[in-house]
Amino acid sequence: MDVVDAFQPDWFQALADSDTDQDSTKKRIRRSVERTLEYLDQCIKRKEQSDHLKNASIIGVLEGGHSISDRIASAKETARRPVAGFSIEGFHNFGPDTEAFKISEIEELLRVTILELPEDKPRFLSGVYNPLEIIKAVKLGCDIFESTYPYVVTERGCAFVFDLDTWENKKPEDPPNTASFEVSLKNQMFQNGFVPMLKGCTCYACQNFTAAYIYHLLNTSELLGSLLLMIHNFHHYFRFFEVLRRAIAADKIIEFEEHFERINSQPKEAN
Amino acid sequence: MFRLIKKRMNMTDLTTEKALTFHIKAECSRTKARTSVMTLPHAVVETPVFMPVGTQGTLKGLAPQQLDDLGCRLMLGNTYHLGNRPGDNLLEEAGGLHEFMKWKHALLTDSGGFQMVSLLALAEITEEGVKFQSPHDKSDMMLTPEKSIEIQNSIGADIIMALDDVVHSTVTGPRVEEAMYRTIRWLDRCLKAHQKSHCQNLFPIVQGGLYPELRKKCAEELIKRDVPGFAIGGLSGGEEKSEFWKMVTLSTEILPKEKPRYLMGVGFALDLVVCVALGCDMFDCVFPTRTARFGVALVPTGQLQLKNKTYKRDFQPIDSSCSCSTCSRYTRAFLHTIVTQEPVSCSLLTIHNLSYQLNLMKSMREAITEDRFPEFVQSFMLKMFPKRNYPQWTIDALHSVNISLS
Repeated sequence: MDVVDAFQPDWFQALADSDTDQDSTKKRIRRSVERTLEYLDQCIKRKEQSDHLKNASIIGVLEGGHSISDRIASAKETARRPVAGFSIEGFHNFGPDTEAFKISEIEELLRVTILELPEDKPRFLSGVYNPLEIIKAVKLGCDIFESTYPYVVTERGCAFVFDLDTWENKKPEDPPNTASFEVSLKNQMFQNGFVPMLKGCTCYACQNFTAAYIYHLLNTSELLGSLLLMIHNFHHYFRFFEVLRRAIAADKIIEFEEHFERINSQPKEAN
Repeated sequence: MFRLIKKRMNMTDLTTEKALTFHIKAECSRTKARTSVMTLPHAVVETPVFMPVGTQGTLKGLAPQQLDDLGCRLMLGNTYHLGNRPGDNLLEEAGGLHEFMKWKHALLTDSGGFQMVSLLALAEITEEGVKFQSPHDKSDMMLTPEKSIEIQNSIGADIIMALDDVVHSTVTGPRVEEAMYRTIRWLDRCLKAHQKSHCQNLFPIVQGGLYPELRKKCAEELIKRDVPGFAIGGLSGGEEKSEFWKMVTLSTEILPKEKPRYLMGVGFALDLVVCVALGCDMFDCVFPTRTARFGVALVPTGQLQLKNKTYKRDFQPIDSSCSCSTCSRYTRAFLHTIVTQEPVSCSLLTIHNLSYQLNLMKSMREAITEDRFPEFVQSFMLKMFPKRNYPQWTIDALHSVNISLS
């Protein structure tokens, strides 16, 4: 809390014990729930005494590993505290392997957790999630995600190419040239690709540079390569959220999910 | 090529068929400094000018727009590196380097000779060219004057350099003379091979080591050729500064006034100021961008090594008189935490260092225009050496052009 106080953030997460995963024992899980609540209460007390943090928002962390009953308990108890939002953790230990993690594995756990939470406070779910996983988490009631996914994609020299335009009929259906959400700009097929990385993308990288140039930058380990990829990946990831929000507002999230899954997993056509 | 012709035809300045015009706007009444306007196919460039080096078709960590915003209108690419990756064929296919890297202003490429000799352990110089082993598959390759020009024609820079027989400035003896004469012969081969003189300007390079007679002979021969500008090479390589400045001033004495003089590989702020006084117009150096990546920021009083603990709690910008995007947002304390750790620190410091160098050139141009260049130099030197412990070579060099340092 000394550190948080010095930072003077707008929102901050209370210290928590989220070090559980699907293999944790019941005893371990229970301890993480209790300890997290103890920490939360101490943090709330400190916050209320601090000039810097009086008006900041504190986020309570929900634990419970993969145990339904502990999840319910943690959520119920945390919801009783004066927190501004909730971060749902304790499912895994983060790190690069969580890219393979599927929301379907924790669907029931998320459902029972969120049932205990008030409607009017945001729910954070951190971790590396691709667009389809995001949609699943949103359907269950999650609101806020973070940017590790575009970052790891950039780090491996890849650019997002999943389709966003056909849903809102911005362009006619056109089988994408990949069945994946991303393409590797290190692939030699881009060496003389004198076209943007993603056709129609309005990001700075795609509006100004060709895939061939970015291939060259990555091939020569030039810093500008990852800069341009990062710009593109953030741009595209943010756009996904814009489209998602509009689909939810139009009460079409189910259709959007079906469409998105179908269009981004069609078999490849030679381009 | 067609695109370049088309672009030239759309330029407002149609008063000349030449790919380069050079108009001297003002001359210093005491030194050899002058400020000019150089018109190239892709840009109008005010001189004296400092050219940042974008070795592999990018300035490390900067997007072209950022360089544009700093006021840069002329930058360098390295033929040796670009010839390897992405390769001249690909650049030709891409429509030239301008199009490939989306740099809309002017470019200059070197001949590839310097890197070849300095980077390749087994480079061998013959009359034919530079023989070397390909860094990729170890096969024998040859960079001839013709091949260098061919690659540079594909890259498409506004200014290209003749392949010269580069000799390290600390070498002595008959090798220097041999290299000087060969440079002249290679120039003639370059001129013959050059396919695009209507849109690419070929500059020869004055060589001759630290021998005044050889430099003189070389310059006199080069002047006989019909070229739009000249480079002074073979210096900035670790020779004694006391010899360095003498060779620079000798060269500018002989080279024609009405054509630009490009001093290759220079340099540090101090060297830029002195060499402008000695009559040079164009400069290039990796120093400001390279040192940025090591955490060093350039300031009027010298340098700041931001890794140093002294900056841990220093909440000033790098330079409070600098208006670059780094100085208007970040403190030394913040930069201290990220230099050499976070890639973005390269970009942030590069922006500042280039801003520093480009503003230095701008200040010099303004001082020359208002005929107060000697005062500018004295003030610059005092800021950099507040105890007046000026390096002897700068005292001598400036004295030779009527500036006295008290």
